[in-house]
Amino acid sequence: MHRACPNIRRTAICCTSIVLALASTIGVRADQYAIEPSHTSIIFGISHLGYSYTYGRFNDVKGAFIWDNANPAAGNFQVGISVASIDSNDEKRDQHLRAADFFNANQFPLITFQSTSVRPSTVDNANGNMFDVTGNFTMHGVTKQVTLPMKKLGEGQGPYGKYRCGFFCQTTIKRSEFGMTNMVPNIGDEVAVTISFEGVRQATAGSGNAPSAGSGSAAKPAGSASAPVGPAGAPSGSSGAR
Amino acid sequence: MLGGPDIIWGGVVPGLIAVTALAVVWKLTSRAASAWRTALVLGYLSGHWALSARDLGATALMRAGQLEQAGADWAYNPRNFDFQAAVAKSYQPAEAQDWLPALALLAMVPDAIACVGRFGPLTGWILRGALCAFLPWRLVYGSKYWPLSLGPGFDFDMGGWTNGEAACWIGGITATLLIAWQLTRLEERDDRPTRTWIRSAVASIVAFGSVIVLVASGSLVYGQLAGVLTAALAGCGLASYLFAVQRGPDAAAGPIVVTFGTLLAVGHLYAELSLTDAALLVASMVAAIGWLPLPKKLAERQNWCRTGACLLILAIPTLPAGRTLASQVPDTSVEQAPNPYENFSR
Repeated sequence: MHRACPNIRRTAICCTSIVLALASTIGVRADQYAIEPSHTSIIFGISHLGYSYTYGRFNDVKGAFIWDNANPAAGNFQVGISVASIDSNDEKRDQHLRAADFFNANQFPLITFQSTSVRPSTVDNANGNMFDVTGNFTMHGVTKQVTLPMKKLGEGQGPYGKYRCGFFCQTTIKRSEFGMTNMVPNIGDEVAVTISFEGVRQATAGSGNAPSAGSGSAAKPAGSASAPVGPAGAPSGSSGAR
Repeated sequence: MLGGPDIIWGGVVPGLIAVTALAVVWKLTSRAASAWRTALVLGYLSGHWALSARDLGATALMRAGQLEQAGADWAYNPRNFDFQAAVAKSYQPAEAQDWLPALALLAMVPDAIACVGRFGPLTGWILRGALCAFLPWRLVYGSKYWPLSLGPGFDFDMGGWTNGEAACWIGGITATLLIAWQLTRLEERDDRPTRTWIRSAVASIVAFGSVIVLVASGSLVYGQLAGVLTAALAGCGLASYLFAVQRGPDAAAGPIVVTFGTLLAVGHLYAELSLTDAALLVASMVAAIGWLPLPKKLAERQNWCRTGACLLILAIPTLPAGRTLASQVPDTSVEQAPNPYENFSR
């Protein structure tokens, strides 16, 4: 009897560990989504000579995210944007925007965002659907940490049965902070950005994993940080990316 | 979008600094090659940093909300510029053009070392080869042509080079630079002042032609930097003529070839400069300052032949580019059409 005690204790510890491990796995059920390009918009707006705002968008966006309603902190967002896909409704201007005077698309072909933390927002969050998504935003070869105010718009089955989840974000960035100083102030420094994206659920992942590429049209990466301006967005005096 | 401040900081200032530097170094050392190299690089650096400092200064003023206070002519006042940040960009380069100051400085070294000691020429060649190979590699590294590993999922089709293509491009640019460098050095012994000032003038014209072609190719920044090189070359040529310095732009072959070559390389890789236009501009620069094969009959008319050949080659890319730019200038003489919405609110 005396000798059996250590064995019992060992078995008990072992069982408890297994139960706790299983419980932690069950408790963290994060879904993995691939961003669907056809329901994703990245729009930007910038002051032209102080007379008007010029708007444009990026047409080629790929990314993925992990989301768990019960545990937003387990969320993870990755977005990649092809700079060459810039579209401001004027091909001549788009060429100039892609050139070295602005984005230098051949040297810095991608704008990327990789989140590092997701927290429920502490301001203006009565519905509990606002989140501060902090991460590394890379544009024009410069990486900076930004916090995007992300609003979860909704989730559910799509018309063809696939489960979808969508987010929305409006913010501003200063292009000069990313080394794009050309033609400031004639072409504004502050760029208003609106991002709206929808993801199609691919799989259920454990917490702590980065999103992996699904077999769908969107691959893994990430979220962007790019810019745009929302529906009514225009650069304001305050910097949005915190 | 080129205005008075661009002309002052990207043209007048580098030109004046080149004149002053060449005069000072020539008077102090009587070494023509050193004077040319130093003056050209100082002139270029001053213009490059001034333009960059102006842009960085503007953003700093904007962020501080002081741009309006600085007045409409803020861009003429160097106190509004951020020179520290501009120079910092040169030792922490991000964009391809940020490498230009360092490359111009490094390009002074091989020709200077080549004159020193028994192993000088060999060392000079090794350094020239290393610089010409480093330059294209560094310009494309991390770009869409030679992307860094972005991780799985970033499967954008960016049109990156295969290993073979990368080797061809980098090898091709290296070989072109080395050949151009060597061809300009072949002209070194021709030091008659009547020929050196013509070479300086023609080289400045070629550099100015590259301004037109680069701007037309879609990059104002590269065009401005070519303008800085034009001003530095013109300043050196003027000072060289005024002080009877018995060397021409071939004395600064390294900085000229490397700076000019880099601008054309980035113009092709990162703007819309065609490979043909870039090759023609290189050929015209070599014809302007370097070796020019001429039959014996024409040797006495070398000045005319050099100028003619150079301008002929230069005209091929420059005239269409000039036409393109001219067509983009709005015609203000045409009366504006009446605004159909003029009375809309009434």
